[in-house]
Amino acid sequence: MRMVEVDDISFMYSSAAKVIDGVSFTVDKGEFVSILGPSGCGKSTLLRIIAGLIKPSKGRVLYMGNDVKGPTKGLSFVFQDFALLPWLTNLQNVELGFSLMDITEEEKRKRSLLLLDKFGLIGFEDAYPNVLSGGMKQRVGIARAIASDPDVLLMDEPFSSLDELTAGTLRNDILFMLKNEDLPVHSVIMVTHNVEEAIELSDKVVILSEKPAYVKAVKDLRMKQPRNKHGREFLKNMDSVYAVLAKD
Amino acid sequence: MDATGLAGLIASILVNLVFSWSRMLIALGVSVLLGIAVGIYAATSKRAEKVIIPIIDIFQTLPILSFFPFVIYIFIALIPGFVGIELAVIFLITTSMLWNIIFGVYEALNSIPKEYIELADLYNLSTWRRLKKIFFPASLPYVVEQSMLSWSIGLFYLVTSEIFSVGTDACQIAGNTAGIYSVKTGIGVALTCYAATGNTLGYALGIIFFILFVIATRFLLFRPLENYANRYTRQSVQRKTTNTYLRNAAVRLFKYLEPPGTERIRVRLNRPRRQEKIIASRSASPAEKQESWRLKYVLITLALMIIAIAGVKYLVLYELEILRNFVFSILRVWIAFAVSLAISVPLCVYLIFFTKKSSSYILLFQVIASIPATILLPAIVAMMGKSPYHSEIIAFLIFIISGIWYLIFSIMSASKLLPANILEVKRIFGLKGLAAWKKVYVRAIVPGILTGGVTAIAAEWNASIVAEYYGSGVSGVSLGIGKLLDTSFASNNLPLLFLALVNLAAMVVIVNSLLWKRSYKRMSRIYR
Ligand SMILES: Nc1ncnc2c1ncn2[C@@H]1O[C@H](COP(=O)(O)OP(=O)(O)O)[C@@H](O)[C@H]1O
Ligand SMILES: [Mg+2]
Repeated sequence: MRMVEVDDISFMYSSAAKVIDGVSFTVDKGEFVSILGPSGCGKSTLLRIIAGLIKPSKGRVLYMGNDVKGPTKGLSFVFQDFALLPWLTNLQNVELGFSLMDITEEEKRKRSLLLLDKFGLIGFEDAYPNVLSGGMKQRVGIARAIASDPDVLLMDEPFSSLDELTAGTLRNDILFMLKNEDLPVHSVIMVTHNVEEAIELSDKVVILSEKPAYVKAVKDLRMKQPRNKHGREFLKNMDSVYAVLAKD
Repeated sequence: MDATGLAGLIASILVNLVFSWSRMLIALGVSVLLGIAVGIYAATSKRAEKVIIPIIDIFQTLPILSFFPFVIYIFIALIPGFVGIELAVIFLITTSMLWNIIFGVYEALNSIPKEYIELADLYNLSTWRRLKKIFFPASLPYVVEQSMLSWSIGLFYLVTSEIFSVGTDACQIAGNTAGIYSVKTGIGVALTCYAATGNTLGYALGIIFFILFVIATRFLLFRPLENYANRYTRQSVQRKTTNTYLRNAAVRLFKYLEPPGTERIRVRLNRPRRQEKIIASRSASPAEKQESWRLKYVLITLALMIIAIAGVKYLVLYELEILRNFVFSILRVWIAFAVSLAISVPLCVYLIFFTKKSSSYILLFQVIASIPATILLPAIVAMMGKSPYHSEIIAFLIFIISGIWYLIFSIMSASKLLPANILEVKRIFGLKGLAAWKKVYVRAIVPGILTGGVTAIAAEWNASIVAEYYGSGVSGVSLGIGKLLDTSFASNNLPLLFLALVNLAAMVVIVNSLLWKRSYKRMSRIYR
């Protein structure tokens, strides 16, 4: 089933400089799609357009066949710098995810605690984000995103400010969630500039050019999970992605 | 009016401005020199730090302006005539400019990367070379930044003290032969006299030239100084060069707040978290901090003892009267503060979250805010006409005008440290209406409100002496601590004057520790 369709998106912040130039790709149910490109090429901008946070200058984004005109229930967002509200406790931050739901405060609280528990954050519910490590902050960020029961999780370099060990654990958590039908999140779109991460996680890698970004190639990866980073196929895919990135 | 008359008027305004600006420049020069010296001393000597910092703590939150009658009294007693009064005015302006400069230097030196000091040790640099190569360059940007803040605060003190020293009926007499307690030339004097004699053109031109001088000072004096001072700072560390009207404590609040239990009032927030000290290795143990607190209490106790010895008699005689006046001033100050909050909270939320043009608004506000509330008094009075609550409303307006800018600039400046994606979070998770205000907008500006609040209240107390004084001949408010100070000064009642000041100081210290300190403690759990 088609979850998201990005259809010929272009964008410019000002009339002078074009940032995105006619990007199209699709995301199906169950798919993990990475958007890979050099820093400053417009990846974050593109993801925000998909989320409905920014209006594209041209083109459209479809979610379940409907135009995305603004932030949409069903599409949730994980921020690179976590974007936790510092003045809310960790529990209250997760509760934000339930804002749109028609349930009692008590129910929100209960469900948020459950989520915190799932991410190993029990004991920190009444603390403020400032006492958490980067990895824990991002887990709160992911818990908050999942709380809104999204079909598609949009993630903007979610692991780039974490150490490799923490990042590895969180990557597995995401993959587990994607595989598990009972949990929310049926597709993931992740922005990254880390080639290895993209190949480890994705079913499909959309490779963008330098600014203004256009799609250089879309690479399908049909390897089974979990993937061996030192396997021959993995390395071959790495090489070919690097080749695409290097090509003018 | 003919051309010669107009030229004469303008010339006289310019002369007055030059006099005022000279006082300001002298005061600033003294403040900068003293500030650097004391700041370096406090930052490099443990013993000095223990004495200097607590004292400044108290001075910064005291409404120093209320000491004005007292200061004049003493200066005139010591140095009679014109020189005494000039010195009193300059002294007063200096007391308003000095504290934040000292703290700027102290803070700058404390936040010097440890490596620099280690490097200096490694190369065995002499004290003088340390000063020259490390301490001066490191504190210079702070000194300039703080000087701009000092300038704005100083303008208020300048104009107010000039007006205050004119006396009530000096202007009517030709040639402006004011009483013995007055400076004879200065823009504050001139504006008061224009207003008193109904010279609308003079008053309007005076304000226009005043604003021009403010803007010119900003660009001809502070801009070059900024460039000079900032040539040391690395490019990557982008210092704000705009919006320095109120380089305020809030900026520090997020970064440097001390862990709970060790805070001192507002100024504390100005200080970075302790790093390795500059001279030798000294760590600020809790005991040490306790020590400086103790010193504060010792000072207060000492003050109280002096009163006890000097005047149980006066206490019995005046305390009730003082408290009665206090009630009225406290009500005015806090109601004015509440109104200021009610204005600045939605205004700042709009500026921070709803408009892209906030920097142009801020610039406009900066110019408006640089006009001391006190020189607008005659205009306000004229606008009020003869409404029955005339004097009460005027007093109230002055309170608000004096305090509200601190709130607004403090909130705006703190907002620069807000996490970038707040609005996106709000939109993604669909926060709307009341929930958005409760969970996002208002919460986001609380730190700015807290830091701005202390200064706003202090500014209002400062203003009380003018606000409650003005128009006393006609229909000034009848009760209030500012009023009491004025009347006790006018009637040469030194014990009453002194006792009222002690009351004022005690009140400030009590409110600080009961209200603000608690709030900071709470904040420090969140922002660390
Ligand atoms: N709000 C903005 N206004 C103007 N230009 C912007 C804005 N945000 C980003 N840009 C520019 O758009 C380009 C793409 O930014 P971004 O999408 O953040 O890149 P990426 O996420 O790929 O690193 C960059 O060159 C950046 O400087
Ligand atoms: Mg990005």
